[in-house]
Amino acid sequence: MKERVILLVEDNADDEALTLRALKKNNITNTIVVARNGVEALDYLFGTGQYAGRDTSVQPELILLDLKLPKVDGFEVLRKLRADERTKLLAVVILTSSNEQQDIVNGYGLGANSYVRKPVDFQHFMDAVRQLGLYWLVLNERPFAGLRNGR
Amino acid sequence: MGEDKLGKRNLTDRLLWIGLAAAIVAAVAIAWYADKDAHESYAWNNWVAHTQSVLDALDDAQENSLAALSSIQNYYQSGDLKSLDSVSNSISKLKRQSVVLRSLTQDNASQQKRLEQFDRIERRMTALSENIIRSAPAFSQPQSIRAPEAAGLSTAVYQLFEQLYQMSAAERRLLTERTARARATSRQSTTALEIGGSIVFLWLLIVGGYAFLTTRRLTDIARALAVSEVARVTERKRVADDLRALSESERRYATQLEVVNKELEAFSYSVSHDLRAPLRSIDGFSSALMEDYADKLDEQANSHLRRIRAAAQRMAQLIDDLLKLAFVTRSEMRTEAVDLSALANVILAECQTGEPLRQVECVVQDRIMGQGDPHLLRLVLENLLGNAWKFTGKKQQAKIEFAVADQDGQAVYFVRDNGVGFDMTYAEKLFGAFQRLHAAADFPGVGVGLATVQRIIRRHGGRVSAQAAEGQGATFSFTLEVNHGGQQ
Repeated sequence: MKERVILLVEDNADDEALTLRALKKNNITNTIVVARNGVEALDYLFGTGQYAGRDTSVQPELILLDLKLPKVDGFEVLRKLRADERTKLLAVVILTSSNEQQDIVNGYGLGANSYVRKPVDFQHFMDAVRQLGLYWLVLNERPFAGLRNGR
Repeated sequence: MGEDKLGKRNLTDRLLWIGLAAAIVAAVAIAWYADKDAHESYAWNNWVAHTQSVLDALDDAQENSLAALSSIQNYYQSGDLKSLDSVSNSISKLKRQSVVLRSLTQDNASQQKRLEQFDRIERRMTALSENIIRSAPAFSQPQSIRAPEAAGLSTAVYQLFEQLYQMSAAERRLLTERTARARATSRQSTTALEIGGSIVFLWLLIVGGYAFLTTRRLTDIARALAVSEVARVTERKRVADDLRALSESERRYATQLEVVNKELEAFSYSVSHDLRAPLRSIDGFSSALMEDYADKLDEQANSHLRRIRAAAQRMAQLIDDLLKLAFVTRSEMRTEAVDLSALANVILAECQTGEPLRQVECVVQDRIMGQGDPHLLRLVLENLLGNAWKFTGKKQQAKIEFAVADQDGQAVYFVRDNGVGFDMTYAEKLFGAFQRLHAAADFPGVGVGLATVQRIIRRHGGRVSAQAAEGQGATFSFTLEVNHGGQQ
């Protein structure tokens, strides 16, 4: 059985730590791949750069995407992965600080599946992560999962 | 006043034309009259000439008569028959002259009568002279002079003279009369021409002068108009320049405003993204400490961590409210009819969901409509109803009311509660940002809500005010743009 990966695209080390903590506390045991900027994220998804040679048939079950990123920002990552056959159907949840209308509109416009604002209150953040895991990893049916199971 | 002037000008114009017409009529009449007089004068002059020619003929006749008389006297003295030939000659001349005079004086009956007399005398003379010649001897002798016949001839010549004299006298009278008439009519014609010419000249002078003055006035008016037109064009150009300058400065301001707005937007964006991240860290790691080191932390340490977390969360709330306030100011507004009653019901239901155990009597008047931006008006009601909900929190029988009232034709919306109210002394502080009249411990909040409400209502062109007494509830009322409110 192939590993079920969650790709966390997050440049802030604190947020990374807190997110990982929240995932762990919620008993989400998936492999977590962390990309610290947009370029890393794309490298992972397309098997380029530091991820050259990676089996790109294995794609993340869920992408938690921050928007404000160095180099290539979250929107650009989203645009590129939605434009590629290999990644266009991946579940992408924008997980970010702002609730600016323009970000929300842009995010959905580029094909995000969800938009979640990181709450300051860690208990609330924990709650959000728990619900995300429950929904996207358990409840929601993924096209790849069906295909894979068929084989 | 302008119309009066116009009427006056019309009147003077009419007078001008009437004057001109009168001058023409006068000129024609005078010309006709003068012409008639001239014709008359001419006729009289003809008569004068005619009379003159009659007089000339009469003079000729007198001359012949004299010649005849002299020939008769010759004969009487010498008895020479040749003298009688001269007499016959004169008589035949007189006969011809009589014919001439008869035709000349055809118009004059009395002269014709005299000519008849003249002819009779002349015939007698002819007879007498023929008698003398017939009875005369073959040679001339003094004793053979026929004295009686000669005397008869002389008498006849005298009688002829008498006739001719009378005729001449009559003609002379006629001449005097006719000359006078000719002169008179000539003078009349001249006078008519003089007077008429003077009148016409005078008329033309007046009319021409008036026309000249009018023309000059018209010229003046035209010049004035031209000047005013130039002034107008100049003014228009100036206004256009001003407008261009204004629009330029407006454009500049608009550009500046756009820049400021862009900066504010960038600032808000940055704040909403970056300012919250550290707070998340503070709260998150405090929470981690409390969980992971629970066995090592005493109650004091836990309390400190709780305070840190609370502060971080309050700061986050502050940032959110600040961003909302900024949003209220910079967001684009659209105006439409908003069902405020429906909004109020939704918001109050949300409050109830947040605190399901509270029992609050909510009275929302049906179908309250307001003109404004739906999103911003929702923020207004969220804040006002949220406050009402919050400040009635310690009341056993809480009551929140939303209604509209007509005040001088303007719709005044109000939110009334029976909560803790506030001291009106501090009412003016109420709408300032981060102003609070209650301790955060009693009622949570950062004090941005009413500032937000005021900004929104101001952007809608309305007013917001509060009435309250400590412990007796509060009423917040607001209006929207005057011209919309009055139509409700």
